[in-house]
Amino acid sequence: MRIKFLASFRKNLMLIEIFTRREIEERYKGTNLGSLWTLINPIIMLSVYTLVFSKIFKAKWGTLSSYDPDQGALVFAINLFAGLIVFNMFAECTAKSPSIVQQNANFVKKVIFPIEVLGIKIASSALFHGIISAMVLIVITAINEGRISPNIIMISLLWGGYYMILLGMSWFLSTIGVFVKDISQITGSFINIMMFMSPVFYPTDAVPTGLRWLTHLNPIGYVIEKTRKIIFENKPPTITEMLIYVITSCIWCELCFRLLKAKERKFGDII
Amino acid sequence: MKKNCREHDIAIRASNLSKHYTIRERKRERLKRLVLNKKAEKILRVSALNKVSFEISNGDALGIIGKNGSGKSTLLQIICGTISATSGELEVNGRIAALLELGSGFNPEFTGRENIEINAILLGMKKKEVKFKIKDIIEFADIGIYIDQPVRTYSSGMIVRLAFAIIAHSDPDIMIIDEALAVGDSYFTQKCMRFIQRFKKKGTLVFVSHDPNAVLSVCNKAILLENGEIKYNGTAKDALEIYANQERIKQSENVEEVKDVRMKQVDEEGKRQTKKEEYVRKWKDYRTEIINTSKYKNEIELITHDNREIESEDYGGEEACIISTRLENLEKRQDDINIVLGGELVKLNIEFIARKRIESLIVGFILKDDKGLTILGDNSFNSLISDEEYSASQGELIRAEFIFTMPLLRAGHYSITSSIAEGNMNNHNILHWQNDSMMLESQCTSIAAGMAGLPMQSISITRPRRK
Repeated sequence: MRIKFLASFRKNLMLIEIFTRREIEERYKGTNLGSLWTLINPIIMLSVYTLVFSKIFKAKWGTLSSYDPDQGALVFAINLFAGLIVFNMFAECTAKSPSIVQQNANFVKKVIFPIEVLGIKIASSALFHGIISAMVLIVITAINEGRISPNIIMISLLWGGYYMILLGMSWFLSTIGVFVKDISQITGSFINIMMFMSPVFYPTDAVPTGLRWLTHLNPIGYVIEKTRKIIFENKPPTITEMLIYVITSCIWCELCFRLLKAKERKFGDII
Repeated sequence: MKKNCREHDIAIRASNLSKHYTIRERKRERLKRLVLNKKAEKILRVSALNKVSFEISNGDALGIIGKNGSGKSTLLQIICGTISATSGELEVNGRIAALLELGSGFNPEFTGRENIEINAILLGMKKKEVKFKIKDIIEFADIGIYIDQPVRTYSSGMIVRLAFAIIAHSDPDIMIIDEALAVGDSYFTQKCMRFIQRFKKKGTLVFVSHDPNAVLSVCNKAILLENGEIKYNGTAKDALEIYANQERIKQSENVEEVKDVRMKQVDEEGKRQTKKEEYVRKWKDYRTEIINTSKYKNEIELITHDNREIESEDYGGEEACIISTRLENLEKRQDDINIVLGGELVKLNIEFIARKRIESLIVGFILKDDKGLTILGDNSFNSLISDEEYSASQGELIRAEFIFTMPLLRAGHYSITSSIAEGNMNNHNILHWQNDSMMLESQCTSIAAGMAGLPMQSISITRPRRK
């Protein structure tokens, strides 16, 4: 089986570059600090979480039975932040994808345009912001703990797979969004539901054993948990586990790509 | 041999292309029906194209004409591949560049420069090629500082300039132009028309326009579409005639009205027959006086400007250089000097400097309309009855004067192209060719039909007595 979406990446590299750069710049257009905000925002967020959760709420990370009573002030904040970084990438893709084809009607109707580029720019821009935030997180953690483990490299494999999951989802939602306009209305609630369904505000251990299979089915939950394990606990997943995960993501992504390409020819009639 | 074969190659072949749209019931109705478990009502099918078959050979210029809604744009979109046909087959050989309606493939939020990059890549240019050509494209579009502004701030004219500039530089095999150039100003339209004429020499063109003159000046073949079907497929001239005839039937009421006015003028003019002889000598329309005091007066405004500022396209100019092209009216009116009237005697002066010695020089001019169609033209060689040849020494200022009766022109923009050549009619070298040396604008006109009016010596209606 040929992996067609990778071929499309190679072929449209230049367009992807232009569109992704635009997508990232768009967010900070007209601001004085420009793309510095990509760095400033996560630092502010992390400071606020530390202040509110650790100093005011005096919240401790972990379940009632298992938490470490001597954990530092930063622990709750960085765990929450790690969850939010991963989740925000998902939220950005879900919010933007369903209406993206509609918004670029000119490209659909008037020129031959590789429509997959639109999904790629959404997922890539989300990944970009995620990486910047993750770098802030890793640096803060390294300073806090006074060391950095080479195992941190595993995160690139984990997020590489996650990128493909998000990319597939963007393609899927943008295809469905053309035919069923209601999709873009429901995404707002869906994002909210997913925020509480995923272990963003709590560790996976806090979920009752009977319901734990739910978090395993949820790909965001898996990525959040593994990200925390790699950065904070220095417990990277095994290579085999990662390989299975990456291959699964790749298949999902390819299926969504083929769905998009199969339906693409109908877009011009509907929009 | 090989070249011969290529000439017969097919650029586009369409067989039995059809496009149907189904107009579905409204979503809410559908939900209601599903809930109440009712049967579906009849689904409406609209056929935008119905079994359309044609072929375009390499190097042909095909016009597609027809009323709004006759399926022209649908056909073009199918050829470009942006929508797919419901049934039928389409074969396209070569790289297509299309200008479909306004702002083809532009993202309104992106700047002009970014849109150039995107569209150039979509048209198949490589990264290096884009970098290399972007300067030329920007220069051709000529929209100044707007190039770095978002496209949503552009006027429709600027959008077309940009869109045309891109496809013009993409070096396509097949160029498709949908009614779009109409929004550009006359300079730009002229520039595009010249480009299209040049392109025709090497590529295949598909051209859609509501303007019969534009189609006629560009295309050799044409298809007339009516309600999604081909009504005529043949030469551009015949297709336009059929189209014009069917339109004329509808407009016949309007025509009657105009005729009434004309008849009246003829009646009044009948009383002035005594002056006829003079008119014959001066080759004047016998209605000139009355027309020139009426609203039908054919005022032609001369748009004057500094020669260096106009964006005229030249070639040559090294050995002889045109420095001015002026038109003046010879009838002593006290009016604005920038106005000449159709039917008046005018003088066209073309001045140039010879940069080297020129043996047997020829000075010529062409009057073109805004589609680039030549209305008239003449040169100094044609008028030489004797064997005498004119020559110029190096550095000499030479002036050529053409005195002629200005034809009545249809409302619109016109331009005069002037040229200097050396040699004779059969064998000559163009030393300087200056497009758009001068622009004219004709406001309104009394001509009944055609591109230009001739002075009528007399029109009369009589009742021959039967014996």
